[in-house]
Amino acid sequence: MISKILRTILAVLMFALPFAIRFTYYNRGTYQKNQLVELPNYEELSLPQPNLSTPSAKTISQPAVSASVLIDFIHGNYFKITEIDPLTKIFRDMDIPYTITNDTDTLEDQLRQVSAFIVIAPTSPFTKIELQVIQQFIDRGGRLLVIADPTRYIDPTETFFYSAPVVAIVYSVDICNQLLAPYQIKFNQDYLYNVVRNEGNFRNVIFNQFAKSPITKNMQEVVLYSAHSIQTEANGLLFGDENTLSSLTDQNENFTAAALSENGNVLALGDLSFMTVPYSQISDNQILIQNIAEFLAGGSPTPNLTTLPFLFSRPVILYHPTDTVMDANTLNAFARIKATLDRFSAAVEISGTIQPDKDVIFLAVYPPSKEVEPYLEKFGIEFSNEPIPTQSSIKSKFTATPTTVGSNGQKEPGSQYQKPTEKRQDVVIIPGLGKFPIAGTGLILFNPGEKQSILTLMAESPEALTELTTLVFSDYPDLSGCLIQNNLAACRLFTVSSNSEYEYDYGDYTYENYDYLTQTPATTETPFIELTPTPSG
Amino acid sequence: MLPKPVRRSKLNIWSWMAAILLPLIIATPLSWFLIPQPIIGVIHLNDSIYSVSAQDMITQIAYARQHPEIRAVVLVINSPGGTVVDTESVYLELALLRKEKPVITVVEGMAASGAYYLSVGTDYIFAKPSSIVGNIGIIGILPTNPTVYEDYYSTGPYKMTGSTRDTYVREMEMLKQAFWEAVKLGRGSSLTAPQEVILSGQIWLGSEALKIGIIDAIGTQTEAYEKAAEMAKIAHYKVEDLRSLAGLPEITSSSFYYQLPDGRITPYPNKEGLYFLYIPPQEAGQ
Repeated sequence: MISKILRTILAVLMFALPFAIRFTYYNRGTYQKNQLVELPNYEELSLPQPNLSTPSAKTISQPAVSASVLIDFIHGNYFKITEIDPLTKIFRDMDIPYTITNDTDTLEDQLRQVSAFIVIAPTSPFTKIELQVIQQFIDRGGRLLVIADPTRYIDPTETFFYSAPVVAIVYSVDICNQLLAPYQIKFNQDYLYNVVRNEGNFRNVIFNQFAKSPITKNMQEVVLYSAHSIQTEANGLLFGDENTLSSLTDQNENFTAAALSENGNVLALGDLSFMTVPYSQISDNQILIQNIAEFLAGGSPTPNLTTLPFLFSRPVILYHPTDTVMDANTLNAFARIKATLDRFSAAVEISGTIQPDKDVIFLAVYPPSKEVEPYLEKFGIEFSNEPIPTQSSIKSKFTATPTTVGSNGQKEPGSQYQKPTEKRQDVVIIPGLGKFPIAGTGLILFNPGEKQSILTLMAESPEALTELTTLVFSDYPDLSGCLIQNNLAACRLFTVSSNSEYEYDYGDYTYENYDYLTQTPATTETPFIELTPTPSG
Repeated sequence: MLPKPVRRSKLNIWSWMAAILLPLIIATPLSWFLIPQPIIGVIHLNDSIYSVSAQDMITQIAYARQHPEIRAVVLVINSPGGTVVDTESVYLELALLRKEKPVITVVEGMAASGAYYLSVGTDYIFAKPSSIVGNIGIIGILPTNPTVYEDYYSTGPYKMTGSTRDTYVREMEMLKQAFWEAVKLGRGSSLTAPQEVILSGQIWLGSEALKIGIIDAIGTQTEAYEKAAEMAKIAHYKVEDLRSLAGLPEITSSSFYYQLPDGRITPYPNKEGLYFLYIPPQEAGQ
C-alpha cells in the first residue's frame, strides 16, 4: 500500500518535472501584471475659454470737427477692409468718415483732407516722396496708425507670383519700419509668445501691464493674437508678464507690442488679429479698439498752404461788404471758391459781417482795406512805391559820371551829369522773401487759428484776383509756381492791369534779388517768368 | 516460469519504471505545449501614424494580448507621428496591453510628436544618442471662414468646416493638455524639465532627451529586448516580429503624405485635420 502511494507521488513528480524544468528555464520569476496603467482623464478635459469680452464704452468721445480717416491700400496691404469692421464700426458711431486709397498719385492730396492715416500690413515699400508726404502730414498734426502682423506676409512660393523675380518672403515689418524710423519705433521680425499664461495658445499673449496713455485707458487686460514686439525709445504701451518671450531670442526683452511716438501722433501696433472678429470680443480688446479710434479721431492737422484747399474746419464766410456792388470778376471768383468748398462739404456763405466762430476768406486788391490790414500785419508785409530799374538805368550804372569842384572845394555834380531815366512802381515787401511788384504778383496769406482761420487772397486787380482764385481753389491746387514761406505765398500772375506802371522786360535781367522757378500758365498764353521754389514749397 | 518472489520483484520494478517514465513521456511534450518558449514580440513603426499603420499596430497589439507566449512587446519606432485620432487609438490599445505585459520602446531615427505620444504609453524608452525625440504638441490648418456658395448647400453654417476657426484653436489646446497628461503619466518623476519646456514643441537628440527625462536610457534594440525580458521575468526567449505572427501583409507605400503632381512626396499630410506630427523645418518654411 505504501509502495503504491510512493509510486503515485513519484509519478506526479515525474509528470511535473518537465513543467518545472521548462518553467524554470524560461522564467526568472513571476511577472506581476500592471493593473495600474493610468490614462489621461479625457473626460475632464475641456476647451480653454477666453475671458468674457468687455463691451465698448457707451460714451463715445466727440471727435475733432474735421476728423476723417484714410486707409492705405496702395502698398499691397495684406488685409481686407471687412476684417477691421470692429474699428470702422466705431468710426461710423463717431461719425468719422473713412476712405480707402489705392492711388499713389493722389496720396498727398488725400492726406490734405484727412486727420488720420492707417497703414496695415504693407507688402510693397513706400517711395521716398510718399514717406516725405506722410511725415509732413504727421508734422502738421495728423495721426498715423501703423500695424504689422507676423502672420501677414507674402511668400512668393505660395502665390502665382512664384515665377516672378522676387523670391524672398516679403514681410510688412521692414516696410512699416520705413514709416516709423523718424519716430524711434521699430518692429522686430519676431512674434511674442507665452507658454505659461496665454489665451488658448502660446502665441495668444495676454497683456496686463500698461503705460499710462489715452490708448490704454479703461483697460485691465488685452490679448494680442500673434504680435510683433516693438523696440522704442518713445512710449511703450503694452507689456506682457515675465513669461512673455520674443521668438527672436526666446528671452523676455521687455519689449512692448504697441508704441506711441513722442509727439503722440504715431501709433504702432504689432498685431492686427485682435482687431478682427471674434478676437475683438476677447478681454478688453474692444476698449483698446475704441481707444485707437479715438486716437485717430483726435488728429487735427494744422492746415497750411500745402493743404489747400482743405484749410477750413468750420463754416466759411466769403467776406464781401454788403454796400459794395459785386463786379463780374468778384462774382466769378466767389463762384469758384464756393463750388470748390461745396465739393468738400464745407458750408460757405457770402457775408459782410465777420462772425467769430466762422472762418473767413478775404479777396482783396491792393492797397488793402482796413478789414484786411490787421491780417497783413502779422506777416510784416509792407507796401511801397519804388523806382524800377530798367535796361537803360542798369547800363547807366556803369557810365562814368563827371564831377566838378565847386568854389568851396566840394565836389558837385557837374552839368555833364546824366540823370538815368526812372519809372516807379508799387511793390510789396515780404520779409524773408524780398520785394515784388504788385503788378503780376498775387499774395495768399493764411492765418490758422483755434477758433477762426483767415485766408486772404490779394492781387492787383479783380481780374488778377480771379486768376489767383483759380490757382488756389481747384481740386488739385498747384502752388508750384509760388514762393511759399510759412503760411504766405507770393504767386506769379499773368493778369496785369493796363494802367500798371510795371512793365515786363523779358529781354534782359530786370529783377534784383529774385529767384524764379518755372511756372506754367494755366489759363493764359502770356509768357512766363521762371521762379525758384523755397525749400518748403 | 519464474518463482513468485522473482515475478513480484520484476513487476515491482516495472511499476516503478512506469511511475517515472510514463509521466515524463506524457508531461514533456505537454509542457512544450503548455509552457512554450517565451516570445518578445516586436512591433515596428516605420511610417507616420494614420489609419492603415494604426490599424496594423492595433492588430499586432491585439495579437500580443491574445497570445500568452508573447511575454513582452518591444515597440521599434521611427516615425514623425501622425493623425491625432489614430495616435490616440494606438495609445489606448497599448495601455490595455501594458496591463498584461511589459511594453518597451526603442527609438531608432525619430519618435516625434504622435510617435512620442505612443512612447510615453510604454514602460521604458530607449533611444539612440542622435535619435530625434519630442516635438510634443499639435499642428493643424484652421478651417476656412464659413461661407456660402452658389452650387453647394449645407444645413448649417459649420456643416462644411466643422467648427469655427477659434474653436479649432481651442480644441488644439485641449488636445495639447491631453498630450501633456499622457507625458506626465508616462514619465512621472523622471521628467526634470518644466512643463513649458516640454510643451514648447522642441525636438531633442536622444542624449539631451535623457537629461530631461523624456526617455529612460540610451540603448539598442538588443538592450530593449533584454530590458523587456527582465521586466517580464523571462529568459531564453526568442524575438518575433508581430507583423509576421499576426499574418499582416508586407507594408506597401504610404498614402498619408501629399504627393505632388510630379510624383515627389511632400512631408505634409494629404488631408486637412489635426495632427500630432513633426514637419521638418526646412519644409515648413517653404
